[in-house]
Amino acid sequence: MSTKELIRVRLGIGLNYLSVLLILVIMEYVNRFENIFNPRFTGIISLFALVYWIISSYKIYWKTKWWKYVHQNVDKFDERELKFVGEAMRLSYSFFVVVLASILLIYSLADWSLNGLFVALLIYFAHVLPASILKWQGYQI
Amino acid sequence: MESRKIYNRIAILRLEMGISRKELAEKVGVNFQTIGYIEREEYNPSLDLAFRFCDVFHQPIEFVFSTSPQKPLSQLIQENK
Repeated sequence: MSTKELIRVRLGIGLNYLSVLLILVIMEYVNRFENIFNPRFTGIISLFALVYWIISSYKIYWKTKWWKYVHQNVDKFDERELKFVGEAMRLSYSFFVVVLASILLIYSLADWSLNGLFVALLIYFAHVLPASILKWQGYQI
Repeated sequence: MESRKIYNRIAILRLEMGISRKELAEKVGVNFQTIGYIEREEYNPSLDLAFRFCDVFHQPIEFVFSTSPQKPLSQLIQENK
């Protein structure tokens, strides 16, 4: 993978995650302080972020079939792919567990409740993280 | 444990045989991109895979793989004259 292509891939992954983060921030934080932020303004921004997230997820994970790496049967991988996928799964597992535990800790300390959207985005995150790590490192599978 | 770099002559042997990466990949049972990784010495194959390459090229394993940089084939021919 050329440096230019790798930068493009990383930018795509980064922006995809940023759009998810933006949706979460608006849903979880801004909406709790409605009196400070204009609801119409935050509504438009979250709509843009949602549209961008759907389009970029389709282009990055669905169209390229990257999302399948988590579900694919190991018999379909050769030894190199198995090594790379295993490494990506190991990294994503440790990262996801730390992120999830930190979020749960913050929510319990703040006495907030988790909403459905938040959990749905965490499931999305868990599914695409190994593929993101693989592609971020420029591995070819 | 950090593994040592394994040098190989797969690219030159493949070209000599006149087969593509994809054809070689089918013969040894891996993805064609894995052949690229091995040829560029960015991935060390397992012992099983290394023997499969040797079977395809009909060469001893010490001729195809080495733990030190390998001499070019032209130099080997000159030395054996």
